[in-house]
Amino acid sequence: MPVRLAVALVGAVLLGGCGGDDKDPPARAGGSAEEKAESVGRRSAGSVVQFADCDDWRRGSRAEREVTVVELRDQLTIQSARSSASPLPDDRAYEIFQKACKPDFAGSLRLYKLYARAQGFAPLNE
Amino acid sequence: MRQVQPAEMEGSGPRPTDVKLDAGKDYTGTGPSAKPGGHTKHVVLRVDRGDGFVGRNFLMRGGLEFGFYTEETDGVLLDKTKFYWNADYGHLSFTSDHHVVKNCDGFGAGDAVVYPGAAPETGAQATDFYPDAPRANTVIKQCDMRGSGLGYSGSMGNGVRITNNHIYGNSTGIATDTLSAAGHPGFPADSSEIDNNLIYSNNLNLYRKDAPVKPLITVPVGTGIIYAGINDARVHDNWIFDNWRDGVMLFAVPDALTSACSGEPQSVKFGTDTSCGAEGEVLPGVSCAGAPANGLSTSCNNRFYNNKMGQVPPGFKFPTMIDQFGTSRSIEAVRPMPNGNDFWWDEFSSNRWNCWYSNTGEDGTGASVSGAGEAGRTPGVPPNALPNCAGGGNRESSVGNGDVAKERYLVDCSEGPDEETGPLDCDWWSTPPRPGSAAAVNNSASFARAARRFAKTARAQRLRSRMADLISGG
Repeated sequence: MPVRLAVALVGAVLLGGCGGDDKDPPARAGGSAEEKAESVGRRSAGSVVQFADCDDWRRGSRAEREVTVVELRDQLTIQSARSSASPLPDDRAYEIFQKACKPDFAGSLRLYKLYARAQGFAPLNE
Repeated sequence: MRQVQPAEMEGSGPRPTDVKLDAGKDYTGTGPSAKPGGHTKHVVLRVDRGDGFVGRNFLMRGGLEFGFYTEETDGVLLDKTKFYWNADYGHLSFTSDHHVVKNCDGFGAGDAVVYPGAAPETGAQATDFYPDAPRANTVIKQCDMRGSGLGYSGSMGNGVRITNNHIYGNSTGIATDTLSAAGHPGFPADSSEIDNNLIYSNNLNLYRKDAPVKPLITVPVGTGIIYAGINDARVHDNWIFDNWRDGVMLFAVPDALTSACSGEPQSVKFGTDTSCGAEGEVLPGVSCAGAPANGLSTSCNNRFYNNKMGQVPPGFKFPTMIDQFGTSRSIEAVRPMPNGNDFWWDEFSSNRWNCWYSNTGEDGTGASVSGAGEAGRTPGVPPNALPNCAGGGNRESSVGNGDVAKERYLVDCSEGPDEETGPLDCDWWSTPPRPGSAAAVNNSASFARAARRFAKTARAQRLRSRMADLISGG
């Protein structure tokens, strides 16, 4: 289940997230925290989706994690659609990453693979 | 390489490992199997639209992503190639036709050793664009796929044949899915054929802190084959043994679960999108009744026959490399080597024409074939059927009854790992007990009451309602 990026692969640029945990205040739409936040993980071909993993998620602040969820959704919903609406609400995706990334062994798990599976079964979930 | 037609690369040594295309660095150890401590390139060898490419007799090692990567290529032959320690996939083909990978060997992939994804619609949904269809467009044969998260994977792997391979020592041996419909043309996946393979001891637990291969994916440890949403598949004449959870899993992925398809806002933060459907056009020929209009397009008309489950071929010996990463396995001298359960089916309501027949179980008879499996640590809801379809002659007799316990189980597993180990929690992230052991028996008995309690709860009723809504198009 690879992610296909819209442009050819180019040299990676590291933009590692840093600091913060879930005690950070939530990012507010249009607020300064979200405006400044960058998605977590290694950026390749303009996106973190291919490489962001649970280690990156753990290192991110709440605001960084939230913009990461949005970036994941943008690429993991129908590319021919006008928007990136998903049956998996962003808040629920955030909760799932928080839980799935917690075990010691989970650091290398790719966020996009977790997202795609959770999204697939989201309409059956509570 | 880009648009070089045709091209051929052949290693000049007597063995494939004599010529290494290497993207790794800082190796621990020596020799071709040495593990890289880092990577210098994303992809070792990339061939896009390179029709007629032939690669033979070399090793692709140490890619940050893939060993071999091709897109939109008509005609590729990889022969006697190896894929070692590529962090994501050893081999990845996408939207490519007339593709053959044979006599290959690979390990050390965090996802899969071999991955043909978004394969062309040359199966049940073929149009006159492919006048020679139905046919396989990709063939994987005579390979060893081992020591990885998955030996084989293919999202939207239409018309792929997997034959005469050894697939062992992975977390899960083979996975074909429709979960990742976005970005993958060819929905729904159909016409996979898996035949004459040896699929065994896929019990490698990578969900531990000291895992020898970093897992990128979440799959059930101890499983031979997973079909997550496929139609018209044929699984036959394989030896499938010593997979401690399930030999073969089949479950549905309804369309509504794979695409943003609603006139109502579905995201808290984003507005209405009336776009609907899977990526690209859904071609006619979907085997599920009423599909694709009713939104239930996967897990119909699959057949499983003439497989030897839990039995070991005469003269079989484990390959030396099965112990490379310490996968759990049976003792070689012991026969048979049962799977935890032979065939697992979610029995999703309305799924039709799925048939299991002429298979034999661990004692060599049809009576010893086990299925349709339980809901993880808890039993499925009776009758837990595994339709025989009158020996394959009456497919109309097979329709899923719906099993709320199994759907709850799949939902929980879809959310990835956690540290919860209760009776209703997903159990994919640990090695199952050896089939037939006291631990295996005790697990089943101790959790049975929890399943019965769950079936009576309000949560179970809500899940039934959501399944009914999906089926009715609500």
